[in-house]
Amino acid sequence: MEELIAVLRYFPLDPVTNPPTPIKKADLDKIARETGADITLNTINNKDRTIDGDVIREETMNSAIEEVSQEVITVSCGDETAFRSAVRALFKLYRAPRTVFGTWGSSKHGREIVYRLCDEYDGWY
Amino acid sequence: MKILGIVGSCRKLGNTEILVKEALMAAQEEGAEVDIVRWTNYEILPCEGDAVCMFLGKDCKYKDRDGHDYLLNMMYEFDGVVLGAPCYILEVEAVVKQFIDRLFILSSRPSKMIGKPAAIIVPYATRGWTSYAFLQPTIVLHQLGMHIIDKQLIHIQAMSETAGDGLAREKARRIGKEVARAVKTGDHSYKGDPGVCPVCHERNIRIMSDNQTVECGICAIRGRLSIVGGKIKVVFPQEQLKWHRFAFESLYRHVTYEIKPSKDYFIRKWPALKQDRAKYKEFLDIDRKAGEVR
Repeated sequence: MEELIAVLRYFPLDPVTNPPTPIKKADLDKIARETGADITLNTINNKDRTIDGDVIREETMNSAIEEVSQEVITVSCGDETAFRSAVRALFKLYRAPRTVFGTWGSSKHGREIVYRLCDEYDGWY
Repeated sequence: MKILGIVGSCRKLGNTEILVKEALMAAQEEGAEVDIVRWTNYEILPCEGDAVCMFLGKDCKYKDRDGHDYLLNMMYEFDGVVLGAPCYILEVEAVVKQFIDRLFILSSRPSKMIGKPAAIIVPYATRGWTSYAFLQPTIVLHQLGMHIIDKQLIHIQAMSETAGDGLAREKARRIGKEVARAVKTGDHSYKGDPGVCPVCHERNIRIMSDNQTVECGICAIRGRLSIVGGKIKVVFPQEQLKWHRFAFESLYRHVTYEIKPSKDYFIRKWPALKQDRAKYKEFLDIDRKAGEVR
């Protein structure tokens, strides 16, 4: 079975603004348990970023996508049904990543499935 | 105290021009120095989306070839704005949207209108054909960071008819006085119809695809809809309000995390995209001259 990989990149204040749901490892673990997909969370804090309450400052013009401050949820699974269920559940909680590069690093087939699920429900429309 | 009247209408001495002038007369009575400009007298070329203003911090390629930069810098000389544009088919005249599309330049050259008061006047002819009349004027003023303090729809039919319509002129005068007083006092509280959205005061609420959530399409704040005593009630949680689409921090986040990193994406994708697009270059000639027979 092909290993499907979805890399979902959420940039600062994405999940906390709308809906007001910060990404929590416990929520990801629950979705992983319920669906059977493997889900990991990686937090990237750019060393140049400053935070003062809700005010975040970071220069990203010449940064590689992977270096920009963000939370990266990676879903991987050999079973397409489980993979879809996991991505759907994540979209319900956090909506889909806002940008095209928000899925950078996904496998080709994984990204296609993510985009089909976005058409179904991405939380933004 | 300087107030600028902007006329987004081609028609000379039409209702929009008359109403904006009436507002400026009233502002003048409040002690304002006033001036007026007709946006449609200037060519505003369509944004080509090449993003050199965003990614390279350069001037727009059209800076000296059309009127957008001139009109934007002209606004910067003023402390308040009265924007008038006629509603044609559901929305105001296209010049307002043309102006908005070129505001990508603000990502590298921040607006100098932030926190200044503005008001909108929209004359229209047929009731029921104004659903999005305030949409583009609201977007342009919010994108510039201005505080909208009032909006008025003015029902009028014949050309220049407002010149003899006391009620229409009274509404325009109110707008002019309100903007002048807002500049003088610093009180930018909203004076118009409160609408449904507490930020932009519009009534264009979208029902999201979960069929549970509603959103102001302009401000992107989300809430819940309910029926209370037979009346529709929309409640937006307080914490949503400060994160509306045009709040400074929201725009900063948008530019920082959604626009700027796409430069890296373009650079990485470009070699493959060049190959992928080749066949579309050869297929049909979209840029043939108008009227040219194939």
